[in-house]
Amino acid sequence: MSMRTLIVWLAAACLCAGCGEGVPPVDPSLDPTVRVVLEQLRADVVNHVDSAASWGRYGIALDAHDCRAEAAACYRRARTLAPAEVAWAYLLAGCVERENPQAAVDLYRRAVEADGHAAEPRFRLAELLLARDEPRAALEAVGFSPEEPIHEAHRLALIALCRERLGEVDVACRAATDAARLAPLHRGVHELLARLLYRAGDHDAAERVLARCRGLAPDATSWPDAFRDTVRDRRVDPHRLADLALSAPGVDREGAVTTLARLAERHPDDWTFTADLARCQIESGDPGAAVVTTTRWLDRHPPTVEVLKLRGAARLLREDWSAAAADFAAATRLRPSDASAWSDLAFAQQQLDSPEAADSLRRAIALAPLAGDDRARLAELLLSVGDVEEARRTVADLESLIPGHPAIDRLHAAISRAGREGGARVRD
Amino acid sequence: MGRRRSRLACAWALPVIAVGAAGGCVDRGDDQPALVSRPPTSTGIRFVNTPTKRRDYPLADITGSGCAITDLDGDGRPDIVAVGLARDNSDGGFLSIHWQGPDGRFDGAPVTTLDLAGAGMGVAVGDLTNDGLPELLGTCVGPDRLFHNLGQREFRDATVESSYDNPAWGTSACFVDYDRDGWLDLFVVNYVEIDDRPCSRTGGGPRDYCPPHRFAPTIDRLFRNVTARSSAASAGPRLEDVTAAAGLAAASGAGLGATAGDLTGDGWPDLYVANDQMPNRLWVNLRDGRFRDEAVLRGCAVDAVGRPQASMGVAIDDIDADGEWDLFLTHLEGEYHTLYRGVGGAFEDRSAAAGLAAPTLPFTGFGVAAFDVEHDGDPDLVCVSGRVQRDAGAPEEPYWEPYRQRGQILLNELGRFREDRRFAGPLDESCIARGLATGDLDGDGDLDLVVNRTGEPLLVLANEAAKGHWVRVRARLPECGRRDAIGAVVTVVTPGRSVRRLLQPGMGYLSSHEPVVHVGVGDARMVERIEVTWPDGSMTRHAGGAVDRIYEIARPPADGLPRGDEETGEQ
Repeated sequence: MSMRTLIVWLAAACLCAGCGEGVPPVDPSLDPTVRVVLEQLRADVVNHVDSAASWGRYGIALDAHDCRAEAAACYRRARTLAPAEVAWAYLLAGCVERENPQAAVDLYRRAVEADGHAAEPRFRLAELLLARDEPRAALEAVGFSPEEPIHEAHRLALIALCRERLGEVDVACRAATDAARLAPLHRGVHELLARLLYRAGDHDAAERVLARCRGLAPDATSWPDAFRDTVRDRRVDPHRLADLALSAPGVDREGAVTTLARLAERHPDDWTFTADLARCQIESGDPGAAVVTTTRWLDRHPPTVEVLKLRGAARLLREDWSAAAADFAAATRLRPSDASAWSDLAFAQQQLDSPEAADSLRRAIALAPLAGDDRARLAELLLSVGDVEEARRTVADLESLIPGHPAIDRLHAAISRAGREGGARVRD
Repeated sequence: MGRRRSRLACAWALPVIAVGAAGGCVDRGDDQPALVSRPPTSTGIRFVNTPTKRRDYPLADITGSGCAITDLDGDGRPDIVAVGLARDNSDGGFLSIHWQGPDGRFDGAPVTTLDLAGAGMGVAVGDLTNDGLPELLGTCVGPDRLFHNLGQREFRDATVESSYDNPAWGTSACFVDYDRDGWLDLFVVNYVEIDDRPCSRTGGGPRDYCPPHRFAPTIDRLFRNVTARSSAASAGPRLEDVTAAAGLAAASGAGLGATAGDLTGDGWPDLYVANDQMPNRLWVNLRDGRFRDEAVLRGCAVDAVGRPQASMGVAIDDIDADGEWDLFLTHLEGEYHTLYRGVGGAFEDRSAAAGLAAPTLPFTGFGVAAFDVEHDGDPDLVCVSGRVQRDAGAPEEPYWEPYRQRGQILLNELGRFREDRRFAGPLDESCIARGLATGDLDGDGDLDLVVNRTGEPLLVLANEAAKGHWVRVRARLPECGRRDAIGAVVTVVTPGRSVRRLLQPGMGYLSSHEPVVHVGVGDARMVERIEVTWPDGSMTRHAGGAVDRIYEIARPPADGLPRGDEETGEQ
């Protein structure tokens, strides 16, 4: 090859690299805010085609926005450039897991080989192997030394699962007990322990553990994963921003209202932002602002149950009973199965001394039979109109369904009093 | 395996024949599909499941609707009920009843249409009045409707007068005599408390259907049959909502699949709920009118690694022929379909060991049925599928294209399953399939399929796979108006093999199967005996006889002596 030809080839190669050939394009259908972020990261890759970090960062951002195939291409390239970096193999495995579980297993193995101390690849590999009914291989993948105590609940839970599958229920029980001690708020591990105790024949202990589970958050079943957290953190999602504004620890209500107002303005047709803003305004002690926010939305859009309910709640706080009742009534017409709308409607109707309040409460109870407060309110309402018999039945139902409800004693006393007074009136 | 047979001249249009003679059969080549599509021109069914309003991404459209195969007019021929999402692009769904005529076609009589209050979801079939004519429950997004079967192909909306009241988003339902009083009760699962929030794959990105966790879960409902209390001679069904008293209000979920059967082995029917992206529930019957959820304890709430799956359809069968009921559930792609194997009243996720994990991983499964497709003696699995969200970058047009997926037949080979795509025939073609019902539509002894597909005509599939012999058992309760003995367990014993099946049509996804027990017996030429354990726990032993026929077995009266028309018979 002549020098001239070589130069032409090199120039063409540089041009191609500059154009970003091989760098996955940004999906044009994505949200404009997301596209801007992705385009910046893509440009960084184009400018640094030999940088594993650039490819990885772009891959993570694509992954965060569900562009899995494109993310996989980036991770693959990053892995080629930096084979010792465990993150790229791990994240690539996550991208291909659904379509090619065997490739994912191989990649997780590579990740474990790259960094024996990283827990996530071991755990995910073990989970995949367990799901493939290979408990012995899974146990090996979890990685532990019998001599050393284990201080990670996730590792212990996996060991318990492997041991259970190997028929060693007692060993599994011990591991799960330790895991539950280390992760007292993890619902999944307590449920596992309950199941293992049940299998081991200790039904009472299983019931006790299960009873504890009922106090835990229903979705407390996932384990921390630093790699996946990196991906999640890259997600540019207005809903996520709204959630963050509402749930930040020691939330600055004023700041949250400003953020949510900006989001509601930017997404005028998505009622969820308006609802978030109104909720935050109510929680900040400004129901008047919430009424303005929700009214503005309802004036421009077809009625939405959630927005109507929020306006109704704000109006209740402002003691505007008629307007609140109208909002809740509209909400129940739109969604007759909404128990909370019926309950709130009943409250507004009670304030207005409307005879329909009892029926609204009955509807709320039929829809949510364990709503003890509504049953108590219905009993009180019935007593106030002198229907002692139905009040008695309502309290009996309350007592049988929610034995410890705090209103029961008070209601029994009120019923006795009403009964005595009724009897006295009859004697008179 | 016996010599390969074909079916009774394989003519859909032939009159229904109860006894499948062995004569007149030709071999079916191995390369031929097991299932053959019967187009509308052949069946006379013109039903198309039209979605509601396409551009608003209403969750009901992607949740889809069910179907049923059942004999509603008592003429001995199974009819087809298809649930429509919406009529004329409105929000109101409907039940569309297609009556099978003597010529095997479904257009000899006008289609009966029963309107629903919201987008049409499921259908459940069961005789609430013990008059031998099954009622229909239509579930929908909004208040469900219960239709009283008056006979002569007439139905009356009995929702209000029966006190059936379920205003939530009802999905699957099944009839079960949970208190063993001889009257079928009704169990209905509800999905989520829907609102019209917009969802997208990437926050502000392209719109798509919402995942269920965006909405509040709901409670399921149990209605006790109190028709017997009614004094009116011509009264319709009467129900009492016992949800709270039974303990079912104690836990909520996003229920999509429902079924009932004695899963704990104590002789009393339990209730099982397949929840979407939440742990499933096994409501164990405490025999005093109350239930307690023991799914976690008994190992059928979450998958092998403790994660809740997005459960859709559910089937109960003795998959591995070990005498215990197993559960099979369909799930979202990326999760496998799960086989919970019964082990002494508890369950273990043995999907991978059964060879079911890998082949089902790429599919979002909905309708499911466990039955012996080729009559070799063990139950196979048929699943129909269709995505619920588009992949990243998928074009918005054609609208439904990114949601399409193919169905699967998973053949049972001594407890391990193998997918054979050649076998699946039209089921291998991509569509958005939801409800799936089985029944012997052409009276040739094997089970045919009906699949409800979103945006497409109802798919009717004739089974051409049957190689071995078969037995069908219709178990009836003469003291209950000769209604089907839903909840009965039928055991068919042939030389060297015993097959146990549950008579529970309310299984799968939003659908109801023909209430006749079907068993493939391979090359057996004789049935040694048939045992029926009735819903009240009593047992009848029938002497058996020839294969390839329907046995009609009636529960003897309490004194043990058969009476006139209640005698156990054969057809």
